[in-house]
Amino acid sequence: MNAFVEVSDLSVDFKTRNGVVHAVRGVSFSLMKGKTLGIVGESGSGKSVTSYALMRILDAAGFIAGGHIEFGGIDIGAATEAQMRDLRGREISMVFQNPRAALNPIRKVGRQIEDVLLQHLQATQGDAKEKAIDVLRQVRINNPEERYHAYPFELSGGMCQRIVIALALACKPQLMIADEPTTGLDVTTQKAVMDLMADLVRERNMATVLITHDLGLAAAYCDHLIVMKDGEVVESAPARALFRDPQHAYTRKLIRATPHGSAAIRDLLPEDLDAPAAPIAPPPGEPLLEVENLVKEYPMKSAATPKPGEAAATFRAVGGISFMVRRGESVGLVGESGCGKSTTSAMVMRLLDSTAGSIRFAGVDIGATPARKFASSQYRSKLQMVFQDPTDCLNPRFTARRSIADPLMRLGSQRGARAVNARVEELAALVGLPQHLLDRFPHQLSGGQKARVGIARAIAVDPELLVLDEPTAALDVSVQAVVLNLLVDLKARLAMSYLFVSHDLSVVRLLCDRVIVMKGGEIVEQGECEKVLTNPSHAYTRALIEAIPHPDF
Amino acid sequence: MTERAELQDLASEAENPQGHEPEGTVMNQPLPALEPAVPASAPAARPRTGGALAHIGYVLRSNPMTMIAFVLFVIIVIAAFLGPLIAPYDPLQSDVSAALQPPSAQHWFGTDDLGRDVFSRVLAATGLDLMIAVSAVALSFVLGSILGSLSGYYGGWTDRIAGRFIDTIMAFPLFVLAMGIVAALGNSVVNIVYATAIVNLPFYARVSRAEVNVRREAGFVLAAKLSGNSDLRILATQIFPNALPPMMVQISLNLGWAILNAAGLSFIGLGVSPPTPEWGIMVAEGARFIVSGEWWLALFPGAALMIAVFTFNMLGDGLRDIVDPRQRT
Repeated sequence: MNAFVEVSDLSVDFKTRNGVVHAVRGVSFSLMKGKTLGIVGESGSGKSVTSYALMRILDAAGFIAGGHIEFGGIDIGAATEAQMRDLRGREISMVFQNPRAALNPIRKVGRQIEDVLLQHLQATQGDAKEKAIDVLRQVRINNPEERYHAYPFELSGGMCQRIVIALALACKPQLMIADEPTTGLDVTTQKAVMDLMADLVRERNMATVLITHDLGLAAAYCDHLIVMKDGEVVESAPARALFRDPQHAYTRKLIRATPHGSAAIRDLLPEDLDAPAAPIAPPPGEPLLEVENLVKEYPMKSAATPKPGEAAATFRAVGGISFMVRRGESVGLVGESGCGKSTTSAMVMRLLDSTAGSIRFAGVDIGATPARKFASSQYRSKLQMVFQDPTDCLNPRFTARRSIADPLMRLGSQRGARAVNARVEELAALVGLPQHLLDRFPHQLSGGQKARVGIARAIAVDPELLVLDEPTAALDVSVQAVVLNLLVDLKARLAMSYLFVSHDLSVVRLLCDRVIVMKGGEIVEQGECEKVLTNPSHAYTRALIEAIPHPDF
Repeated sequence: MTERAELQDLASEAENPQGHEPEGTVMNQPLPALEPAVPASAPAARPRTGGALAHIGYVLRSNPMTMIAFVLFVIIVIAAFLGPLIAPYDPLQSDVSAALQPPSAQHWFGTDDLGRDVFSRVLAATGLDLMIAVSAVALSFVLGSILGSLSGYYGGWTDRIAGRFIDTIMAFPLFVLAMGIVAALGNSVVNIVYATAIVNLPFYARVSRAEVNVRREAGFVLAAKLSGNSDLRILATQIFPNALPPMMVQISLNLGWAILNAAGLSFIGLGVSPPTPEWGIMVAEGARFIVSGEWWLALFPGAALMIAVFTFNMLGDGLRDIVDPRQRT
């Protein structure tokens, strides 16, 4: 059987201010109908650019510099723009990373599906609505007749991604390209969406290209994998073979860096690194943070003016939770988006006032000090935080040096510019940030370097409790491996306690002694990390664990 | 990661091969074990890719309109500061024998009805017009930013009251409002400045409110709170500087508009009074002579006014690119 999509020696160049950038160099692969090809790589590897070249939707500065793309007998490189317009959507379609950005926010989702159908003459004005509802039903949306009238903002992230998949599949294309289709979705939603895609692809015998940074996901859903690095394919093999016997050093490094099975934290680092054994955590001491019956309620907008005699309707983001973090302990706070874990961490950090309940830190009720006044509290320096998005958490107008110095200037014991500067350099050394990067602005740093700046800033004033809000969610796996190891080492060196907020159980397992599972503002389960993960007592915990994609070979 | 961001990564990598890649390769002493052998000769410092001047040069080269605007701007500033010194004649010296002469080698822009040299007067007026515009814009920038930043950051009642105040100003035709203010406060240059500042206030308040509002919950603001900064300090040192690039565009556009406003007020007889050289008055006085064929009286000050407004309007975009550190790579 002939290959349906044949890419040979593809190169894509971009003209930039600093000269021509070779984003993709000599990439070849072929794909048959009914098969799924996974393109795996870290950011900047050229995996998205490759798929854009397939659809010829490179932006103005980019062009196909060499090679040949053949799709079902059509030479994509030589096709006219009119032919391409006809192919896109009808023959080749794409599912984008951020479903909310891919949907028009002011048009009903049903209408958006109709648009595609009408554009490619798959429906007439008369039967478009019927067909659109049928497409919605195929992506397993309940009540498709009602959902037809929904706007994207009324739907959850997973629901939006289903709509995007419905859009992509509406015209029964032959090839679907999914660019990180589940990044940013919860792990259970991810499983639902990926299973749905796999089923639809099988039913229709379509060819699929799945672009992802997540090796586990790629392994679970792809037949063949290609691994890209710096615009080149370093390895191409059937999924099973790639995992069993990776040939290239980079592939091995990636597989190692992906949290898997029973691997310990040091196992994530490349083998040739020969790191000393992970520090053994001292037995947890007395309670450092005690949270009791913590509640956060928000007034509902629709009931802004309640009728007399009626209590105002409120939304309970956090509904009376209690937990404890001991000195020297790492506690994981796990749950899906909207479960109240971020709200909880914001209240513990005193960025947000609680509605009820108490937060005691080292025996003192810090919850009694309003968040607004906490900046001048003596406990401010004891509670610090590492944020989720390393880009968003750095002021774009501050250099790395200035960002790290910020807490020192307000809370530190250093006096004078020289002392502050010396401390900044000490901190940079501690987190492994090269000194010459200190004078760069955030946009001149890579993701991992920005994460280090964020960590250096958080530990600058010797905190006792560090809240880590998904500190590696935005990082590549190999960078995540290094940052997680750094966090483990820092905790031992500086005798801190961690509250690790995350949706990723496999990462929590590596770092935490105990884990707290939250759902809908309540704690459903808490206990020793190993015990909860190997023998969960609550059905929700089990669902979370099962949804983690992992290669079973 | 978006394709564009990936590209930037690629670009920065291409530009300095050892700048980006070494995740984990460059850990320092405390965690030596995580560090694969890095040759000791590896250059520690990487060459900075050009400073502020090189960046300004790049912005100017890549955008010819900005370049033209920049050159004109320099000329206007020189004229404003050195105008009275380099003017060939005394702008106030009348010479009835030489009245209403057309442009010639002696009088480049001709002379007016009292025999004063139009070129000298246009030159001398630059300083006054620019001074009015700059002080009015500075005043409204400061007041508008404070008002807008506070309402953007605190929201609630602060925002509502400030918002209605601004709406009230915007409810009047701006030029008519400026006329009213000058008429009420009295006919003086200072009052023109106040009037122009008040009618410009809403633009700054709105831009800064919007820019501050979107950053109120940004990660770096939360981080600054954790660093023990008070609300006002965060607003002034962390958030507001990020609102500057769009404000720069506003400032530049407004400078042109403020010059026009000042000239307009003078044109209808408010503000600057004769014989002070000022573009608006000169156009107003010259207009009477156009019918009788002495076109140069109104044309040259009018052209100067037009070029000044054009310059400031063109300058805006370039100025934003220069001020924003993210445009520097």
